[in-house]
Amino acid sequence: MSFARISPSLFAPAWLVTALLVLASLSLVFFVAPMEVQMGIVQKIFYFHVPSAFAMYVGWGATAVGALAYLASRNPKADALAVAGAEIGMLFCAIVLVTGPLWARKAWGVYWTWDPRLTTTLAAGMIYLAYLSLRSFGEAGESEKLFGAGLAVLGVPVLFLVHYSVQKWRGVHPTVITKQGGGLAPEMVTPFLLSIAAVLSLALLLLWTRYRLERQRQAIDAARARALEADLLENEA
Amino acid sequence: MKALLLSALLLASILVARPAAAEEPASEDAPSAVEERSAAFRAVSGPETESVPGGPLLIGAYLALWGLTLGYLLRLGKIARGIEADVESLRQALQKVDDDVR
Repeated sequence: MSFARISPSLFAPAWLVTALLVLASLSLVFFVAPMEVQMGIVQKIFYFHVPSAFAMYVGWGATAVGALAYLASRNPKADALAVAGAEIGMLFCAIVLVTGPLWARKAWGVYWTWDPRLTTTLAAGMIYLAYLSLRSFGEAGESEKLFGAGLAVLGVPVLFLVHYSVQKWRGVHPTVITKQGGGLAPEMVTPFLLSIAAVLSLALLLLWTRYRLERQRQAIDAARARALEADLLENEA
Repeated sequence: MKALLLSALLLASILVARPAAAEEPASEDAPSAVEERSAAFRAVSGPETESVPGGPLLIGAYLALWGLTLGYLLRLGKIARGIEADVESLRQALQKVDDDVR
């Protein structure tokens, strides 16, 4: 693996800090945070489920920013950000959609129910999965990039629906974190905040890594195209 | 007699007022159904007699969390190796052209 080539001076310290945050949060979650009265040990899924949802928003938020910027400027950096954000958002969406049902089996007695938040999260996941599928069909041309950017922008309202669905529609999904202060026991707050820091740090690090890789790929594609134009290379296709 | 009548009237008003107060709708300051539900992690459905073990569900969730993350790291590694291979093939092709020119 050659991640270190991406940015040798910052890469290792960033990973070290993230690894320490993850280890610290795991130890707080399992050795400091108290057991929840109703659900017992399965409530500890919450400490990484909710931060993963935040990381999902970060990833797809980056996609929205990148897609809008690409539509406005055709800047390849914006396209790289959109692709990187879509993958990171999809990763954490998958984590949310797997860990949530495992918690729900204990809390609700079923793995899945068509609750507004669950349904809108699944819908958002399908939109960005479509975006990634479109971008993975070989080397994306300009039309694929533009269509993909439009699709990514269309996903933005769904993200707001995911976030506000709990307040706007009746459902069974809990909203423990609210503006009124939340329903967490005081001993659960520190482990939860540290888990948020750990997961967001991991998400940003993955986003940065994927963005740099995409920029390198773009540079190679551009170099190959220039070499072909100058008849320095034979067209393999 | 007047005092007795007043006492009876007072008692009757209390008896009538209490049920009426109990039937009053909840005020706007009272928490909504969503807020009330969100304040506590209460099970809302599911069979009462079934005991779902939390341990395997928790282990499954954490395995999924770190398994998916590790899988994505492996994907990043694959992309990085692909880029390295592309750079090497491009370098060799250009080196060949350079050698031919010389």
